[in-house]
Amino acid sequence: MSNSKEILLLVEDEEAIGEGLKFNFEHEGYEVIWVKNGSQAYTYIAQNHINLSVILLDIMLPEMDGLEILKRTREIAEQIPIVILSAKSQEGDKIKALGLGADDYVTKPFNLVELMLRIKGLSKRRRWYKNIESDTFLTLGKAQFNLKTLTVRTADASNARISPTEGLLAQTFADNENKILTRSDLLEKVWNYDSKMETRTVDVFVSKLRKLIELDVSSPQYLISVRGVGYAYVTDNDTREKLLSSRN
Amino acid sequence: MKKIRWLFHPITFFVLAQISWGLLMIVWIRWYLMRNQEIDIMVQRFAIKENFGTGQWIILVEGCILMGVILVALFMVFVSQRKQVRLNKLKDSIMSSVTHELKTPLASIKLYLETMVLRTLSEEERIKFLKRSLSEADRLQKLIDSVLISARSEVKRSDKELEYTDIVELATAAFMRSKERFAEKRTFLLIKNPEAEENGFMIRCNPHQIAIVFDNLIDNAVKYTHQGGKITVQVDISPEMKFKARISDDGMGMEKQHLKKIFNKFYRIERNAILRVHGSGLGLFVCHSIVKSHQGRLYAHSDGPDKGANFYVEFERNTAPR
Repeated sequence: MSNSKEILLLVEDEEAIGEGLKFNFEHEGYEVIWVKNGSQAYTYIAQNHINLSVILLDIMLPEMDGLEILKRTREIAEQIPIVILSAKSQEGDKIKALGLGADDYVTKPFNLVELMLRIKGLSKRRRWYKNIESDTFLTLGKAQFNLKTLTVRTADASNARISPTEGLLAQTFADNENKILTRSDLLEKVWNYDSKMETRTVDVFVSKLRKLIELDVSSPQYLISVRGVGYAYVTDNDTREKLLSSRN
Repeated sequence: MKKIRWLFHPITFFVLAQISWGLLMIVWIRWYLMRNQEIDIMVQRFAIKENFGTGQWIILVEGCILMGVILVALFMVFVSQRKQVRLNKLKDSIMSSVTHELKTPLASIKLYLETMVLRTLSEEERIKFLKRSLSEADRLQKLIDSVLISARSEVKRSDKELEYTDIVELATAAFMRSKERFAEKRTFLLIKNPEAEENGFMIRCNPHQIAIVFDNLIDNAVKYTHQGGKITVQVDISPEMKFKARISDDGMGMEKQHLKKIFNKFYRIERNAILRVHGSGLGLFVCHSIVKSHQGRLYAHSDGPDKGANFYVEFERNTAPR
Protein backbone atom coordinates (compact mmCIF):
# COMPACT_ATOMS: atom_id res chain seq x y z
CA MET A 1 0.00 0.00 0.00
CA SER A 2 1.32 3.39 -0.94
CA ASN A 3 2.04 5.79 1.90
CA SER A 4 2.01 8.95 -0.16
CA LYS A 5 -1.58 8.69 -1.37
CA GLU A 6 -4.71 9.27 0.63
CA ILE A 7 -6.69 6.03 0.75
CA LEU A 8 -10.42 6.18 0.12
CA LEU A 9 -12.53 3.15 0.92
CA LEU A 10 -15.54 3.14 -1.37
CA VAL A 11 -18.35 0.83 -0.27
CA GLU A 12 -20.90 0.72 -3.07
CA ASP A 13 -22.74 -2.24 -4.57
CA GLU A 14 -24.01 -0.38 -7.64
CA GLU A 15 -21.57 -1.24 -10.41
CA ALA A 16 -22.06 1.95 -12.44
CA ILE A 17 -21.81 4.34 -9.48
CA GLY A 18 -18.83 2.49 -8.00
CA GLU A 19 -16.92 2.52 -11.26
CA GLY A 20 -17.66 6.21 -11.91
CA LEU A 21 -16.62 7.26 -8.41
CA LYS A 22 -13.46 5.16 -8.48
CA PHE A 23 -12.46 6.77 -11.77
CA ASN A 24 -13.02 10.28 -10.44
CA PHE A 25 -11.34 9.87 -7.07
CA GLU A 26 -8.34 8.21 -8.68
CA HIS A 27 -8.08 11.26 -10.92
CA GLU A 28 -8.09 13.40 -7.77
CA GLY A 29 -5.06 11.50 -6.50
CA TYR A 30 -6.69 9.04 -4.12
CA GLU A 31 -5.94 5.38 -3.93
CA VAL A 32 -9.43 3.91 -4.11
CA ILE A 33 -10.31 0.58 -2.54
CA TRP A 34 -13.72 -0.39 -3.87
CA VAL A 35 -15.72 -3.00 -1.96
CA LYS A 36 -19.16 -4.10 -3.12
CA ASN A 37 -20.65 -5.82 -0.12
CA GLY A 38 -21.13 -4.93 3.52
CA SER A 39 -19.39 -7.78 5.29
CA GLN A 40 -16.29 -7.54 3.07
CA ALA A 41 -16.22 -3.80 3.74
CA TYR A 42 -16.29 -4.29 7.48
CA THR A 43 -13.59 -6.98 7.32
CA TYR A 44 -11.44 -4.58 5.32
CA ILE A 45 -12.03 -1.73 7.80
CA ALA A 46 -11.25 -3.96 10.78
CA GLN A 47 -7.89 -4.92 9.29
CA ASN A 48 -6.85 -1.66 7.62
CA HIS A 49 -8.52 1.25 9.40
CA ILE A 50 -5.21 2.78 10.41
CA ASN A 51 -4.29 3.39 6.78
CA LEU A 52 -7.64 4.71 5.63
CA SER A 53 -8.08 8.44 5.05
CA VAL A 54 -11.82 8.47 4.49
CA ILE A 55 -14.74 6.09 3.90
CA LEU A 56 -17.55 6.70 1.42
CA LEU A 57 -20.35 4.37 2.45
CA ASP A 58 -23.67 3.36 0.87
CA ILE A 59 -26.49 2.26 3.22
CA MET A 60 -28.40 -0.42 1.32
CA LEU A 61 -25.73 -3.06 0.85
CA PRO A 62 -25.79 -6.82 0.51
CA GLU A 63 -24.64 -8.89 3.49
CA MET A 64 -24.34 -6.01 5.96
CA ASP A 65 -26.26 -2.78 6.15
CA GLY A 66 -24.22 0.45 5.82
CA LEU A 67 -25.50 1.70 9.17
CA GLU A 68 -24.31 -1.49 10.86
CA ILE A 69 -20.87 -1.01 9.29
CA LEU A 70 -20.89 2.57 10.55
CA LYS A 71 -21.79 1.51 14.06
CA ARG A 72 -19.17 -1.22 14.19
CA THR A 73 -16.51 1.01 12.62
CA ARG A 74 -17.07 3.67 15.26
CA GLU A 75 -16.37 1.07 17.93
CA ILE A 76 -12.91 0.34 16.55
CA ALA A 77 -11.93 3.49 14.67
CA GLU A 78 -13.65 6.67 15.72
CA GLN A 79 -11.14 8.86 13.91
CA ILE A 80 -11.87 7.90 10.28
CA PRO A 81 -14.10 10.40 8.50
CA ILE A 82 -17.15 8.59 7.12
CA VAL A 83 -19.46 10.07 4.51
CA ILE A 84 -22.75 8.31 3.82
CA LEU A 85 -23.83 8.26 0.18
CA SER A 86 -27.38 7.00 -0.09
CA ALA A 87 -30.60 7.27 -2.07
CA LYS A 88 -32.45 7.38 1.26
CA SER A 89 -33.16 11.05 1.59
CA GLN A 90 -35.54 11.43 4.51
CA GLU A 91 -34.51 13.65 7.40
CA GLY A 92 -34.84 10.71 9.81
CA ASP A 93 -32.33 8.65 7.80
CA LYS A 94 -29.80 11.49 7.95
CA ILE A 95 -30.23 12.09 11.66
CA LYS A 96 -29.90 8.36 12.35
CA ALA A 97 -26.67 8.07 10.34
CA LEU A 98 -25.13 11.22 11.84
CA GLY A 99 -26.19 10.02 15.28
CA LEU A 100 -24.35 6.75 14.71
CA GLY A 101 -21.16 8.62 13.96
CA ALA A 102 -21.16 9.57 10.27
CA ASP A 103 -19.41 12.86 9.53
CA ASP A 104 -21.64 13.79 6.64
CA TYR A 105 -24.58 12.53 4.60
CA VAL A 106 -24.90 12.99 0.85
CA THR A 107 -28.01 11.88 -1.04
CA LYS A 108 -28.17 10.32 -4.49
CA PRO A 109 -28.31 11.72 -7.12
CA PHE A 110 -25.42 13.89 -6.01
CA ASN A 111 -23.28 16.65 -7.44
CA LEU A 112 -19.89 15.13 -8.25
CA VAL A 113 -17.83 18.28 -7.63
CA GLU A 114 -19.54 18.90 -4.32
CA LEU A 115 -19.02 15.30 -3.22
CA MET A 116 -15.32 15.51 -4.08
CA LEU A 117 -14.97 18.77 -2.11
CA ARG A 118 -16.61 17.18 0.89
CA ILE A 119 -14.32 14.16 0.75
CA LYS A 120 -11.25 16.37 0.37
CA GLY A 121 -12.37 18.53 3.28
CA LEU A 122 -12.80 15.55 5.53
CA SER A 123 -9.46 14.05 4.47
CA LYS A 124 -7.83 17.28 5.67
CA ARG A 125 -9.71 16.89 8.93
CA ARG A 126 -8.21 13.43 9.29
CA ARG A 127 -4.78 15.09 9.02
CA TRP A 128 -5.79 17.52 11.81
CA TYR A 129 -6.41 14.57 14.08
CA LYS A 130 -3.11 12.92 13.13
CA ASN A 131 -1.28 16.15 14.10
CA ILE A 132 -2.41 15.95 17.71
CA GLU A 133 0.50 14.20 19.30
CA SER A 134 0.07 14.51 23.04
CA ASP A 135 -2.94 14.73 25.33
CA THR A 136 -4.75 17.97 24.61
CA PHE A 137 -7.37 18.92 27.15
CA LEU A 138 -10.17 21.30 26.46
CA THR A 139 -12.98 22.50 28.69
CA LEU A 140 -16.25 23.34 27.04
CA GLY A 141 -19.26 24.12 29.18
CA LYS A 142 -19.45 21.54 31.92
CA ALA A 143 -17.46 18.94 30.00
CA GLN A 144 -13.77 18.20 29.65
CA PHE A 145 -12.47 16.86 26.34
CA ASN A 146 -9.24 15.01 25.59
CA LEU A 147 -8.69 15.60 21.88
CA LYS A 148 -5.91 13.03 21.60
CA THR A 149 -7.88 10.13 23.02
CA LEU A 150 -11.19 11.53 21.73
CA THR A 151 -12.82 11.04 25.10
CA VAL A 152 -14.94 13.36 27.16
CA ARG A 153 -16.01 13.68 30.76
CA THR A 154 -19.55 14.91 30.19
CA ALA A 155 -21.63 17.46 32.11
CA ASP A 156 -23.37 14.67 34.03
CA ALA A 157 -19.95 13.23 34.99
CA SER A 158 -20.07 10.20 32.75
CA ASN A 159 -17.41 9.21 30.21
CA ALA A 160 -18.10 9.20 26.48
CA ARG A 161 -16.22 8.80 23.22
CA ILE A 162 -16.44 11.39 20.48
CA SER A 163 -15.62 11.49 16.80
CA PRO A 164 -12.89 13.81 15.47
CA THR A 165 -15.64 15.95 13.94
CA GLU A 166 -17.13 16.47 17.38
CA GLY A 167 -13.64 17.09 18.77
CA LEU A 168 -12.84 19.68 16.14
CA LEU A 169 -16.25 21.29 16.58
CA ALA A 170 -15.61 21.54 20.33
CA GLN A 171 -12.19 23.06 19.67
CA THR A 172 -13.64 25.55 17.17
CA PHE A 173 -16.22 26.73 19.68
CA ALA A 174 -13.57 26.97 22.41
CA ASP A 175 -11.30 29.03 20.11
CA ASN A 176 -14.18 31.40 19.39
CA GLU A 177 -15.52 31.90 22.87
CA ASN A 178 -18.36 34.45 23.14
CA LYS A 179 -18.41 34.97 19.38
CA ILE A 180 -21.22 34.14 17.01
CA LEU A 181 -20.25 31.51 14.45
CA THR A 182 -22.47 31.14 11.39
CA ARG A 183 -23.26 27.70 9.98
CA SER A 184 -21.02 28.59 7.03
CA ASP A 185 -18.14 29.45 9.42
CA LEU A 186 -18.55 26.08 11.09
CA LEU A 187 -18.73 24.23 7.79
CA GLU A 188 -15.50 25.87 6.70
CA LYS A 189 -13.64 25.45 9.98
CA VAL A 190 -14.76 21.95 10.94
CA TRP A 191 -15.67 20.18 7.72
CA ASN A 192 -13.34 22.22 5.45
CA TYR A 193 -16.30 22.77 3.16
CA ASP A 194 -17.02 25.59 0.82
CA SER A 195 -19.36 27.90 2.71
CA LYS A 196 -21.91 27.73 -0.12
CA MET A 197 -22.74 24.14 0.74
CA GLU A 198 -25.85 24.29 2.83
CA THR A 199 -26.27 21.40 5.17
CA ARG A 200 -28.27 20.43 8.22
CA THR A 201 -25.26 18.45 9.37
CA VAL A 202 -24.06 21.37 11.53
CA ASP A 203 -27.32 21.46 13.52
CA VAL A 204 -27.21 17.73 14.19
CA PHE A 205 -23.62 17.95 15.44
CA VAL A 206 -24.31 20.98 17.64
CA SER A 207 -27.20 19.16 19.26
CA LYS A 208 -24.90 16.14 19.87
CA LEU A 209 -22.32 18.47 21.45
CA ARG A 210 -24.96 20.08 23.67
CA LYS A 211 -25.81 16.68 25.13
CA LEU A 212 -22.20 16.40 26.24
CA ILE A 213 -21.62 19.85 27.70
CA GLU A 214 -24.98 21.12 28.95
CA LEU A 215 -26.69 20.13 32.17
CA ASP A 216 -30.10 20.84 30.70
CA VAL A 217 -30.23 20.40 26.93
CA SER A 218 -33.71 21.95 26.72
CA SER A 219 -32.34 25.22 28.05
CA PRO A 220 -28.71 25.47 26.90
CA GLN A 221 -26.44 27.83 28.83
CA TYR A 222 -23.25 27.43 26.80
CA LEU A 223 -24.07 26.57 23.19
CA ILE A 224 -26.69 29.12 22.30
CA SER A 225 -28.59 29.25 19.01
CA VAL A 226 -28.67 32.59 17.29
CA ARG A 227 -31.80 32.44 15.17
CA GLY A 228 -31.18 32.57 11.44
CA VAL A 229 -27.42 32.98 11.93
CA GLY A 230 -25.72 30.14 13.76
CA TYR A 231 -24.39 29.37 17.21
CA ALA A 232 -22.28 30.92 19.93
CA TYR A 233 -20.28 29.28 22.71
CA VAL A 234 -20.85 31.59 25.64
CA THR A 235 -18.94 31.74 28.90
CA ASP A 236 -19.56 35.38 29.67
CA ASN A 237 -22.79 36.10 31.58
CA ASP A 238 -23.50 39.44 29.88
CA THR A 239 -23.19 37.94 26.40
CA ARG A 240 -25.34 35.02 27.46
CA GLU A 241 -28.10 37.26 28.78
CA LYS A 242 -27.92 39.43 25.68
CA LEU A 243 -28.21 36.47 23.34
CA LEU A 244 -30.92 34.74 25.34
CA SER A 245 -32.97 37.92 25.63
CA SER A 246 -32.63 38.67 21.91
CA ARG A 247 -34.21 35.27 21.20
CA ASN A 248 -37.37 36.07 23.13
CA MET B 1 -40.16 6.97 27.89
CA LYS B 2 -41.63 3.95 26.09
CA LYS B 3 -44.30 3.63 28.79
CA ILE B 4 -45.30 7.27 28.37
CA ARG B 5 -45.55 6.80 24.59
CA TRP B 6 -47.84 3.80 25.12
CA LEU B 7 -50.15 5.94 27.27
CA PHE B 8 -50.88 8.16 24.27
CA HIS B 9 -51.24 5.28 21.82
CA PRO B 10 -54.66 5.06 20.04
CA ILE B 11 -55.10 1.49 21.35
CA THR B 12 -54.82 2.77 24.94
CA PHE B 13 -57.45 5.42 24.24
CA PHE B 14 -59.67 2.83 22.59
CA VAL B 15 -59.45 0.46 25.56
CA LEU B 16 -60.10 3.34 27.99
CA ALA B 17 -63.14 4.40 25.93
CA GLN B 18 -64.52 0.83 26.07
CA ILE B 19 -64.00 0.65 29.85
CA SER B 20 -65.71 4.06 30.25
CA TRP B 21 -68.69 2.95 28.17
CA GLY B 22 -68.96 -0.28 30.14
CA LEU B 23 -68.81 1.54 33.48
CA LEU B 24 -71.35 4.09 32.30
CA MET B 25 -73.73 1.29 31.32
CA ILE B 26 -73.35 -0.40 34.71
CA VAL B 27 -73.91 2.89 36.58
CA TRP B 28 -76.84 3.71 34.38
CA ILE B 29 -78.59 0.31 34.80
CA ARG B 30 -77.91 0.36 38.55
CA TRP B 31 -79.34 3.87 38.78
CA TYR B 32 -82.40 2.73 36.81
CA LEU B 33 -82.97 -0.30 39.08
CA MET B 34 -82.62 1.79 42.25
CA ARG B 35 -84.97 4.49 40.95
CA ASN B 36 -87.41 1.74 39.98
CA GLN B 37 -87.32 0.28 43.47
CA GLU B 38 -87.94 3.73 44.94
CA ILE B 39 -90.87 4.27 42.57
CA ASP B 40 -92.30 0.87 43.56
CA ILE B 41 -92.05 1.89 47.24
CA MET B 42 -93.72 5.20 46.47
CA VAL B 43 -96.48 3.44 44.50
CA GLN B 44 -97.16 1.16 47.47
CA ARG B 45 -96.92 3.94 50.07
CA PHE B 46 -99.18 6.45 48.30
CA ALA B 47 -101.43 3.84 46.66
CA ILE B 48 -100.90 5.32 43.21
CA LYS B 49 -102.38 3.56 40.18
CA GLU B 50 -100.37 0.44 39.41
CA ASN B 51 -99.41 1.34 35.86
CA PHE B 52 -97.52 4.43 37.07
CA GLY B 53 -93.93 4.41 35.86
CA THR B 54 -94.33 1.40 33.57
CA GLY B 55 -92.72 1.77 30.17
CA GLN B 56 -89.54 3.24 31.59
CA TRP B 57 -87.73 -0.02 30.78
CA ILE B 58 -88.38 0.73 27.10
CA ILE B 59 -86.25 3.86 27.45
CA LEU B 60 -83.55 1.76 29.10
CA VAL B 61 -83.59 -0.87 26.33
CA GLU B 62 -83.54 1.86 23.67
CA GLY B 63 -80.60 3.50 25.41
CA CYS B 64 -78.74 0.19 25.59
CA ILE B 65 -79.35 -0.51 21.88
CA LEU B 66 -78.22 2.99 20.88
CA MET B 67 -75.16 2.68 23.04
CA GLY B 68 -74.42 -0.72 21.48
CA VAL B 69 -74.66 0.87 18.02
CA ILE B 70 -72.28 3.63 19.10
CA LEU B 71 -69.86 1.02 20.44
CA VAL B 72 -69.95 -0.99 17.21
CA ALA B 73 -69.47 2.21 15.17
CA LEU B 74 -66.57 3.24 17.38
CA PHE B 75 -65.02 -0.17 16.95
CA MET B 76 -65.41 0.01 13.15
CA VAL B 77 -63.85 3.49 13.07
CA PHE B 78 -60.97 2.22 15.17
CA VAL B 79 -60.36 -0.84 12.98
CA SER B 80 -60.51 1.28 9.84
CA GLN B 81 -58.13 3.84 11.33
CA ARG B 82 -55.62 1.10 12.24
CA LYS B 83 -55.91 -0.30 8.71
CA GLN B 84 -55.26 3.18 7.32
CA VAL B 85 -52.17 3.56 9.50
CA ARG B 86 -50.87 0.19 8.26
CA LEU B 87 -51.59 1.17 4.65
CA ASN B 88 -49.79 4.47 5.10
CA LYS B 89 -46.76 2.66 6.52
CA LEU B 90 -46.82 0.25 3.57
CA LYS B 91 -47.16 3.17 1.16
CA ASP B 92 -44.15 4.88 2.77
CA SER B 93 -42.04 1.75 2.51
CA ILE B 94 -43.12 1.24 -1.15
CA MET B 95 -42.40 4.88 -1.96
CA SER B 96 -39.02 4.56 -0.32
CA SER B 97 -38.05 1.41 -2.28
CA VAL B 98 -39.41 2.74 -5.61
CA THR B 99 -37.67 6.07 -5.02
CA HIS B 100 -34.44 4.27 -4.24
CA GLU B 101 -34.72 2.24 -7.45
CA LEU B 102 -35.42 5.38 -9.48
CA LYS B 103 -32.70 7.51 -7.93
CA THR B 104 -29.89 5.00 -8.35
CA PRO B 105 -29.78 4.89 -12.19
CA LEU B 106 -30.38 8.63 -12.25
CA ALA B 107 -27.38 9.14 -9.96
CA SER B 108 -25.24 6.98 -12.28
CA ILE B 109 -26.26 8.93 -15.39
CA LYS B 110 -25.60 12.25 -13.66
CA LEU B 111 -22.23 11.00 -12.40
CA TYR B 112 -21.06 9.96 -15.87
CA LEU B 113 -22.29 13.15 -17.53
CA GLU B 114 -20.56 15.29 -14.88
CA THR B 115 -17.41 13.22 -15.33
CA MET B 116 -17.50 13.88 -19.07
CA VAL B 117 -17.92 17.62 -18.48
CA LEU B 118 -15.21 17.75 -15.83
CA ARG B 119 -12.46 15.59 -17.28
CA THR B 120 -10.52 15.18 -20.46
CA LEU B 121 -11.21 11.61 -21.49
CA SER B 122 -9.75 9.28 -24.05
CA GLU B 123 -12.09 8.17 -26.85
CA GLU B 124 -12.26 4.70 -25.29
CA GLU B 125 -13.25 6.10 -21.87
CA ARG B 126 -15.79 8.43 -23.43
CA ILE B 127 -17.52 5.58 -25.29
CA LYS B 128 -17.43 3.39 -22.18
CA PHE B 129 -19.06 6.12 -20.07
CA LEU B 130 -21.67 6.85 -22.72
CA LYS B 131 -22.54 3.15 -22.91
CA ARG B 132 -22.82 3.03 -19.13
CA SER B 133 -25.13 6.05 -19.16
CA LEU B 134 -27.30 4.51 -21.89
CA SER B 135 -27.55 1.25 -20.03
CA GLU B 136 -28.59 3.12 -16.85
CA ALA B 137 -31.09 5.16 -18.88
CA ASP B 138 -32.57 1.84 -20.14
CA ARG B 139 -32.80 0.65 -16.56
CA LEU B 140 -34.59 3.85 -15.60
CA GLN B 141 -36.95 3.54 -18.54
CA LYS B 142 -37.82 -0.06 -17.58
CA LEU B 143 -38.61 1.04 -14.07
CA ILE B 144 -40.77 3.91 -15.19
CA ASP B 145 -42.56 1.54 -17.60
CA SER B 146 -43.12 -0.89 -14.75
CA VAL B 147 -44.55 1.82 -12.51
CA LEU B 148 -46.82 3.04 -15.33
CA ILE B 149 -47.95 -0.45 -16.33
CA SER B 150 -48.63 -1.37 -12.73
CA ALA B 151 -50.76 1.75 -12.30
CA ARG B 152 -52.57 1.22 -15.62
CA SER B 153 -53.26 -2.47 -15.13
CA GLU B 154 -55.66 -1.67 -12.34
CA VAL B 155 -57.54 0.82 -14.41
CA LYS B 156 -57.47 -0.06 -18.08
CA ARG B 157 -55.44 -2.63 -19.96
CA SER B 158 -53.54 -1.37 -22.95
CA ASP B 159 -54.86 -2.81 -26.18
CA LYS B 160 -52.90 -0.61 -28.55
CA GLU B 161 -49.75 -1.35 -30.52
CA LEU B 162 -50.55 -5.00 -31.17
CA GLU B 163 -48.36 -6.64 -33.75
CA TYR B 164 -47.78 -10.16 -34.99
CA THR B 165 -44.43 -10.81 -33.41
CA ASP B 166 -42.09 -13.75 -33.02
CA ILE B 167 -41.85 -14.14 -29.27
CA VAL B 168 -38.96 -16.61 -29.53
CA GLU B 169 -37.05 -13.71 -31.01
CA LEU B 170 -38.12 -11.43 -28.16
CA ALA B 171 -36.96 -14.00 -25.59
CA THR B 172 -33.65 -14.44 -27.44
CA ALA B 173 -33.08 -10.68 -27.65
CA ALA B 174 -33.74 -10.25 -23.90
CA PHE B 175 -31.35 -13.14 -23.18
CA MET B 176 -28.64 -11.52 -25.30
CA ARG B 177 -29.11 -8.14 -23.58
CA SER B 178 -28.64 -9.66 -20.13
CA LYS B 179 -25.75 -11.82 -21.28
CA GLU B 180 -23.99 -8.76 -22.64
CA ARG B 181 -24.43 -6.90 -19.36
CA PHE B 182 -23.63 -9.68 -16.92
CA ALA B 183 -21.44 -12.13 -18.87
CA GLU B 184 -18.50 -11.50 -16.53
CA LYS B 185 -20.45 -12.39 -13.42
CA ARG B 186 -22.87 -15.14 -14.43
CA THR B 187 -22.93 -18.10 -16.84
CA PHE B 188 -25.66 -17.87 -19.46
CA LEU B 189 -27.19 -20.69 -21.42
CA LEU B 190 -29.91 -20.49 -24.09
CA ILE B 191 -31.61 -23.68 -25.26
CA LYS B 192 -34.24 -23.75 -28.00
CA ASN B 193 -35.96 -26.86 -29.30
CA PRO B 194 -35.84 -27.39 -33.12
CA GLU B 195 -39.35 -26.02 -33.68
CA ALA B 196 -38.54 -22.84 -31.75
CA GLU B 197 -35.17 -22.51 -33.45
CA GLU B 198 -36.50 -22.97 -36.98
CA ASN B 199 -39.97 -21.48 -37.02
CA GLY B 200 -40.25 -19.24 -33.99
CA PHE B 201 -43.69 -18.53 -32.53
CA MET B 202 -45.83 -15.73 -33.90
CA ILE B 203 -48.52 -14.24 -31.72
CA ARG B 204 -50.45 -10.98 -31.77
CA CYS B 205 -49.00 -9.07 -28.86
CA ASN B 206 -47.56 -5.86 -27.60
CA PRO B 207 -43.87 -6.61 -28.34
CA HIS B 208 -42.61 -3.86 -26.01
CA GLN B 209 -44.53 -5.34 -23.09
CA ILE B 210 -43.50 -8.93 -23.84
CA ALA B 211 -39.88 -7.74 -24.00
CA ILE B 212 -40.35 -6.23 -20.51
CA VAL B 213 -41.52 -9.66 -19.27
CA PHE B 214 -38.42 -11.49 -20.52
CA ASP B 215 -36.09 -8.67 -19.44
CA ASN B 216 -37.54 -8.61 -15.93
CA LEU B 217 -37.47 -12.39 -15.51
CA ILE B 218 -33.89 -12.75 -16.73
CA ASP B 219 -32.71 -9.71 -14.72
CA ASN B 220 -34.38 -11.23 -11.65
CA ALA B 221 -32.55 -14.50 -12.25
CA VAL B 222 -29.30 -12.51 -12.28
CA LYS B 223 -30.23 -10.51 -9.18
CA TYR B 224 -31.13 -13.54 -7.09
CA THR B 225 -28.08 -15.59 -8.09
CA HIS B 226 -24.66 -15.35 -6.53
CA GLN B 227 -21.49 -14.45 -8.41
CA GLY B 228 -20.71 -17.17 -10.97
CA GLY B 229 -24.27 -18.51 -10.89
CA LYS B 230 -25.92 -20.10 -13.90
CA ILE B 231 -28.90 -18.61 -15.75
CA THR B 232 -30.69 -20.84 -18.25
CA VAL B 233 -33.38 -19.79 -20.69
CA GLN B 234 -35.08 -22.70 -22.38
CA VAL B 235 -37.63 -22.11 -25.13
CA ASP B 236 -39.83 -24.95 -26.39
CA ILE B 237 -42.69 -25.09 -28.85
CA SER B 238 -44.75 -28.17 -28.13
CA PRO B 239 -46.43 -30.31 -30.81
CA GLU B 240 -49.74 -28.81 -29.64
CA MET B 241 -48.30 -25.47 -30.69
CA LYS B 242 -47.79 -24.08 -27.23
CA PHE B 243 -44.95 -21.72 -26.41
CA LYS B 244 -43.16 -22.39 -23.15
CA ALA B 245 -40.14 -20.47 -21.85
CA ARG B 246 -38.37 -21.53 -18.69
CA ILE B 247 -36.08 -18.99 -17.05
CA SER B 248 -34.12 -20.78 -14.38
CA ASP B 249 -31.26 -20.01 -12.05
CA ASP B 250 -29.29 -21.81 -9.37
CA GLY B 251 -29.56 -18.95 -6.89
CA MET B 252 -31.40 -18.14 -3.68
CA GLY B 253 -34.72 -19.82 -4.54
CA MET B 254 -37.64 -19.48 -2.16
CA GLU B 255 -40.00 -21.37 0.10
CA LYS B 256 -43.24 -22.76 -1.36
CA GLN B 257 -45.40 -20.24 0.49
CA HIS B 258 -43.99 -17.40 -1.63
CA LEU B 259 -44.46 -19.00 -5.06
CA LYS B 260 -47.82 -17.38 -5.74
CA LYS B 261 -47.46 -14.28 -3.59
CA ILE B 262 -44.38 -13.05 -5.45
CA PHE B 263 -46.66 -11.95 -8.29
CA ASN B 264 -48.61 -9.64 -5.98
CA LYS B 265 -47.99 -5.94 -6.24
CA PHE B 266 -45.18 -4.77 -3.92
CA TYR B 267 -44.71 -8.25 -2.44
CA ARG B 268 -41.13 -8.74 -1.31
CA ILE B 269 -39.74 -11.81 0.40
CA GLU B 270 -38.28 -10.86 3.76
CA ARG B 271 -34.70 -12.02 3.65
CA ASN B 272 -31.94 -11.58 6.16
CA ALA B 273 -29.34 -8.88 5.57
CA ILE B 274 -26.98 -11.32 3.88
CA LEU B 275 -29.45 -12.23 1.15
CA ARG B 276 -31.21 -8.89 0.79
CA VAL B 277 -31.66 -7.73 -2.79
CA HIS B 278 -32.79 -4.29 -3.95
CA GLY B 279 -36.08 -4.05 -5.78
CA SER B 280 -39.26 -2.07 -6.22
CA GLY B 281 -41.63 -5.00 -5.69
CA LEU B 282 -43.21 -4.25 -9.05
CA GLY B 283 -41.26 -6.37 -11.57
CA LEU B 284 -43.04 -9.72 -11.19
CA PHE B 285 -46.42 -8.07 -10.71
CA VAL B 286 -45.96 -6.25 -14.00
CA CYS B 287 -44.80 -9.45 -15.75
CA HIS B 288 -47.83 -11.31 -14.46
CA SER B 289 -50.21 -8.55 -15.53
CA ILE B 290 -48.74 -8.43 -19.03
CA VAL B 291 -48.76 -12.20 -19.53
CA LYS B 292 -52.29 -12.44 -18.17
CA SER B 293 -53.50 -9.67 -20.46
CA HIS B 294 -52.05 -11.71 -23.38
CA GLN B 295 -54.01 -14.74 -22.17
CA GLY B 296 -50.82 -16.49 -21.26
CA ARG B 297 -49.60 -18.04 -18.03
CA LEU B 298 -46.73 -17.10 -15.76
CA TYR B 299 -45.85 -19.21 -12.75
CA ALA B 300 -42.89 -20.06 -10.59
CA HIS B 301 -41.35 -23.14 -9.08
CA SER B 302 -38.57 -23.58 -6.57
CA ASP B 303 -37.37 -26.58 -4.59
CA GLY B 304 -36.67 -24.27 -1.66
CA PRO B 305 -34.17 -21.73 -0.39
CA ASP B 306 -30.75 -21.98 -2.07
CA LYS B 307 -32.13 -24.43 -4.62
CA GLY B 308 -32.70 -21.95 -7.43
CA ALA B 309 -35.93 -20.83 -9.04
CA ASN B 310 -37.74 -21.54 -12.31
CA PHE B 311 -40.16 -19.13 -13.96
CA TYR B 312 -42.41 -20.42 -16.74
CA VAL B 313 -44.08 -18.28 -19.40
CA GLU B 314 -46.66 -19.98 -21.59
CA PHE B 315 -48.60 -18.72 -24.59
CA GLU B 316 -50.90 -20.31 -27.08
CA ARG B 317 -50.85 -19.28 -30.72
CA ASN B 318 -53.17 -16.48 -31.82
CA THR B 319 -53.63 -15.10 -28.38
CA ALA B 320 -54.07 -11.38 -28.05
CA PRO B 321 -54.28 -9.00 -25.13
CA ARG B 322 -57.63 -8.84 -23.48
